Amino acid sequence: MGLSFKILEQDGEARSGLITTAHGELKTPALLLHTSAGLPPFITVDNLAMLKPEASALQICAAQFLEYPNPKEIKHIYGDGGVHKMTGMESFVVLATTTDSLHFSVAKNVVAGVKGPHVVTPGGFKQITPAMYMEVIDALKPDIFCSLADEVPAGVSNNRSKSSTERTISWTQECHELHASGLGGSGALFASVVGGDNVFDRKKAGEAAAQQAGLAGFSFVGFGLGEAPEERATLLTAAMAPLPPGLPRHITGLGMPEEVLHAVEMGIDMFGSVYPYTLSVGGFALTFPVDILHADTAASLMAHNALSGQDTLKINLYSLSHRTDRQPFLIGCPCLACTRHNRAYVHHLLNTHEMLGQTLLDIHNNHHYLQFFKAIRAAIQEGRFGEYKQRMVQYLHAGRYSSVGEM
Amino acid sequence: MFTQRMAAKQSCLTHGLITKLNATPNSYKLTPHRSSSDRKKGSRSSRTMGSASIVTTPPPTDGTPNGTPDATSSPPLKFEVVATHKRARASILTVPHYACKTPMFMPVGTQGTIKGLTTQQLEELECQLILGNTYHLELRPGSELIGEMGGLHEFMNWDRGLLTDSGGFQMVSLLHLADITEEGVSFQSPVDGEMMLLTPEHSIQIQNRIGADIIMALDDVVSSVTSDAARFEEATHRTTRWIDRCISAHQRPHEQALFGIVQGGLDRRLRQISLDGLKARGDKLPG
Repeated sequence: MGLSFKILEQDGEARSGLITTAHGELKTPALLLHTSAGLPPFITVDNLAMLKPEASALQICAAQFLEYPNPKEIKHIYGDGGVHKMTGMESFVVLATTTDSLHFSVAKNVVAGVKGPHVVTPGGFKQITPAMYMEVIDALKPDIFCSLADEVPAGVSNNRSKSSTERTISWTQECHELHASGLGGSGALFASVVGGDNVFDRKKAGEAAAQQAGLAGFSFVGFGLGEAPEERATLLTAAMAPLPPGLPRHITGLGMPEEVLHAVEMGIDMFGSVYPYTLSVGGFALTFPVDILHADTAASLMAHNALSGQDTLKINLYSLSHRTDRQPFLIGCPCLACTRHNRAYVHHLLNTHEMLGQTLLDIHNNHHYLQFFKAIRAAIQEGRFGEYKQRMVQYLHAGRYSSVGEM
Repeated sequence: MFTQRMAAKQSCLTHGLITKLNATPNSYKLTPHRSSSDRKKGSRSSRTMGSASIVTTPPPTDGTPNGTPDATSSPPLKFEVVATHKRARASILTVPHYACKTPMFMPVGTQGTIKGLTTQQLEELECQLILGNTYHLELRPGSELIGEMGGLHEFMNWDRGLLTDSGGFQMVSLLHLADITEEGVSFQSPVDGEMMLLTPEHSIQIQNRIGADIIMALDDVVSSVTSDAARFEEATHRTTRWIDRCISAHQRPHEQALFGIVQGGLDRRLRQISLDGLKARGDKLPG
């Protein structure tokens, strides 16, 4: 297998580790950047290079490579280079999932098929079987790929939840067999662990994954789709309990700082998240202090202003309060957007629907969030993760009941 | 008379873009002419490559008492032809923010950005000069705000060349009820539908605030496929009258080079009249 995982430090259930692949190393807990058709939507390769060394992993969506081009065409053009060669991302660890948060159609997948889930593709809604999925994986040759999953949101019936669990277990076995027969090359297989919001199914899925041969890790699927945070904790605990601790755990659908911290606390290592991207699209720039153990948060709390659409986490560049604001998004941030531009300019770009606005925001938001993960790792290594999480959650909530006023 | 004309052109002229129809290639085979100001400043040496010539604007007639130009009265544009091939020429066009090699492609940064590219990427692409659209920038964020923020260069963090158009073309092409009178272009505001007026003076003031290296005079623009000959005649002469109003309104003649625009449709006679009118304005129109 082309992946090795080493746990460096343990702090409660949280752990910091190192994943090594043919395309570089990944320090965990890690943020995997969202992509569309293989690349971050707003960030070109040259700008992405500036986000290194922290930016080292991408999450791709296999459903986007079923057509235009299809797996045969990809192989024909890129040979064994796969998606790394296709996108020019040789120095990035690439993880593939069946679908992704932005393209997952909750309503449609409730009625899935026995042979495979339905996924959104450029050519419309398609059913994808394990065999088709492994064809895509074999063409893309990602470093890591999750088994084909029947992802269901919270709130589905018990029958549906049960069927999604049983199917996913069976499809995982099929993916393993196809992988063992040569498809997917030296990529590493993670088992998708589903179960909706049914604790029993989550446990069953975890147990099956623990016994599945040929795995390099686990991917928790179907979260961030409507379950309450308390439910999530119960479900994750049930799913993770049977699993061997020495293999990495990946999760999709989560992204907000509190969600990340709670999941890290439970032992999750990798996060594929669209969170920074959705903030950029919405015109927001992250400003929360990542170094919460040493930061003086008073200034951030003072700046928090409901009237300008700003909270303890981020600022809203659409706000008129930034019309002539010469500050960068975040004073002291070394990213390209903050060192070369200011809020007034980005406010103007958003008003005029110019793409550069989102590009600058995305560069900043990804930089900032990668720094957040770096701080999490440092806290674990210092044995202070509990304190870090507590302080951060306290800070994030501080504005909520402040005297600035509820709007 | 021909040589007189050549000399006159040499001494008072800075060619800019191809918008100014120029004389025969022979004009560039004369020995280089340098104004007295250049010799005193000891500025760049001439490049005599046979057909090269340096053409600069002389100091303005309303300059300092001793005739020596200081920094504030230096020309906003220098044009140095370094090689020619028939009518084509390779040149160095120096504006306050950058020395541009021409012929050059000028990307369009309509609303203060080239779509999707950072200014750093533009530099890496060896972009020399980009265009900003006066109409759109006045609409959003407004030329006053841009002026407040230090001009468009500072606002978008681009320190090479910038050019703005007059705003007239968008008026006519984009807006309903756009009507051109002697006063200016009257149009319906896209914001609230109220009738507004863009005059030559107003256009120049907006461009002064935006601060581009090269600015355009407001012209009476007529579609080349208009069938009304009288309209072309009117537009040609009005454009010339408007040039004078633009020149008078220009507050920053030493930092921004004002370009005139040749009108006349497809009528060679009218084009010549228009060109002669521009040339007659001499050093007031660097391009």
